[in-house]
Amino acid sequence: MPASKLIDNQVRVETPEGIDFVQAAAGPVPRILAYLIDFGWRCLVYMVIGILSAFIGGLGSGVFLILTFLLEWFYPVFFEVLRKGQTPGKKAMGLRVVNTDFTPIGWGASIVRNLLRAADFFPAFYATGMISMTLTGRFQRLGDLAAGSLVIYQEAERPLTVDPEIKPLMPPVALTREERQGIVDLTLRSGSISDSRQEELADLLTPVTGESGSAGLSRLKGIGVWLLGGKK
Amino acid sequence: MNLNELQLKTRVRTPWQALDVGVLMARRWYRPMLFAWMLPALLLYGLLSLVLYDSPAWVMLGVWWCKPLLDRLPLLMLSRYIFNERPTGVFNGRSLLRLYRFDMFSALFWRRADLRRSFNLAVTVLEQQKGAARARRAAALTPGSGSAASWLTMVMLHLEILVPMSIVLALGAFVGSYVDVDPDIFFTFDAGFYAHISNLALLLGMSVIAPLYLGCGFSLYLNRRVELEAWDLELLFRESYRRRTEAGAKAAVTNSAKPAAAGAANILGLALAASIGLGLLSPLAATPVEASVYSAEAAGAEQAREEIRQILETPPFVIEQQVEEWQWKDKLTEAPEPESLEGWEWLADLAGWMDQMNLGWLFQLVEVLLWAGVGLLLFLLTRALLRHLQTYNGPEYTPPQQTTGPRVIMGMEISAGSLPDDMDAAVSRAFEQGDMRLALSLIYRHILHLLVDGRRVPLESWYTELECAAAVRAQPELKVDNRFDELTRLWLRLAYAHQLPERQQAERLYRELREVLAV
Repeated sequence: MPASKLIDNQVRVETPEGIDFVQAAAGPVPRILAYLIDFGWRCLVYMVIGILSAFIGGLGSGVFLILTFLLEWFYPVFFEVLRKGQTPGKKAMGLRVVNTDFTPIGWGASIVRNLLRAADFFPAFYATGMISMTLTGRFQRLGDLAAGSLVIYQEAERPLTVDPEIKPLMPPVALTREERQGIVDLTLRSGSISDSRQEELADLLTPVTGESGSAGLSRLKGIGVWLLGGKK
Repeated sequence: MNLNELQLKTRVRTPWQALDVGVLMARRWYRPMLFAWMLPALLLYGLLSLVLYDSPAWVMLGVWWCKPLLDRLPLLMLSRYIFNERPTGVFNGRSLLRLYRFDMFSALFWRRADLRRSFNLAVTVLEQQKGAARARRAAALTPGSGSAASWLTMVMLHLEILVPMSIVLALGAFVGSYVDVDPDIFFTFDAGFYAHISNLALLLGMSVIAPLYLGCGFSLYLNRRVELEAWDLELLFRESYRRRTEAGAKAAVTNSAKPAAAGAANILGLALAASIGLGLLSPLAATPVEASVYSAEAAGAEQAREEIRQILETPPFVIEQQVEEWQWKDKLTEAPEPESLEGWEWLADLAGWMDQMNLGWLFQLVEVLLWAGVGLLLFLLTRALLRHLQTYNGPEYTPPQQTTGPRVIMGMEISAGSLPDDMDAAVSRAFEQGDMRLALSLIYRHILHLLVDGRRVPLESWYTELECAAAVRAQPELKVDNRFDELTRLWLRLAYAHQLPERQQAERLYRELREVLAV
């Protein structure tokens, strides 16, 4: 089988200065769930408006129709532009709408992507949108393609908790950036990886630590803590 | 399984992101997975129809019930594809039978309602675990990913039903209102032939969604294993190990006079043997074949870098041109084409008429008027500017704040209170006692005090000696000439080099500086 590009869900944007910005594009399942959450909220509002307008009679039903029209078409636009690209559903799922260059989405793009929901909906239940999302590498439905927008994951801060018992240790040799990141990763993730596996991994870095087995692992973790800024 | 061949960018992702990667995986190997699901399903449907042709609903229920078995083959194929292998060994009768029979009853009975089916399926199919061992393994994998796996099943379950409905609605939309289709025929299960057609539509929906469902579940499983077994770190560290041992081997080769190739092979071989020994439990074990691949790769990279450099030094990246005379940047290379005069003949006629009339005086008059207009405009502009300047008082004036000089410079107190009242006596006493350091520091501090508090030289507490000297030099109105520089040099030599100054010179400098700086 010919070697091909590795499967990845990340999208890169390079600035003219040569700086890469990386975000993860959000796919169908979380977006469907986000849509359902939004849909639930809208239904709740429709019910409240419906009950209230029932008391007013004919005028009430007119108001109800106008409000539902506005809500159905401009609910996402409102939230996307004024709430940093997040409708309540997207917020619950940790998603955000941005332009394809990761800048915040504006009125024009948001209106385009939400008016085209009609196209994505065809023939029912967003079937076209689903197909489009699956076929485009960055999970864009037709509205996203037209508006040049993208749904990405809101970056979550990873808590930096390390065992305070580990003594920081200056790396004895120069490390590449990937190696530094890997060692820090091992130190941070040591809670979820079994001890024997950790030693096995640490053994691969004997050229760095100069020791093998648990001694090598503890030295490696010391280097990790040092790289994280522990300098005692 | 060989991690180097993994077709996935290894990274620990959130469960939701793992689901997205699953969609990408399903997309890449969609067709084989679709057929691996659909053909057995159709076969099963046919077999069941032979027995139960008159009750299509039961046939459909039977196929639907067997979904956990039908899911196995595409999953197995995907697990081969993801490691860049062809799933050739799968398609013979015996291994297929083994695949479907393994742990069949529990899969079809008490685990049929498992909400995390596609996530847990890999434990059964790929790890070949059953019973309590399977349950333990599933429980170990579940934390963190369980809810995403359940939501995945919920979403895909609905999509399966929505696919045939969308197809029907799309057909309806395209047919329009000319044909009156009774939508009920797709939902009435005992309408014979129609019911079978609607069943096939449902089957199509299931087959279309199955690769996505399995891909997402498998991706979630892989993500969990990447997290628990740190596959990403293994790939990274292995690469680093290779680089470092190779560098070491190279160094050894250049240092020793032995036959180079044999030495390198030995060392490399030793290193690789060690790595195999260490990596017994690891899913990835480097072999000598891989080693040669690695070195070939490295050589290729070197060559490629050289080629890139060469390309970057040739046109169109670099255009060399020798120019020996001045020339305009935007030289017109060709005369602009005369514009077509179509429709403007009357203007030409007018010009011709004017030529005949000899109207030169009129043009001169217009020219004079134009210049006069320009002059007037300039005059008005100048006047407006002058008016503006008269009313403009310049930027808002803020009186400089009364700044007090620093109390401490370079860690030395220089305020009046910190110095002895009778400086001369203190200095000469220090000289008598032979404590040059004390004497000179007193002198230096006093001079700094005079500079900062008496003459308001803007010195800051963080200045070094040389910066202080430069700040003093920058104010020639102090008339210290280079005496302060000299004092600074004396002080630096004493303070840092322990070279004792001459008493006469120090006292002379002190006296003169005090005279100059006296307020």
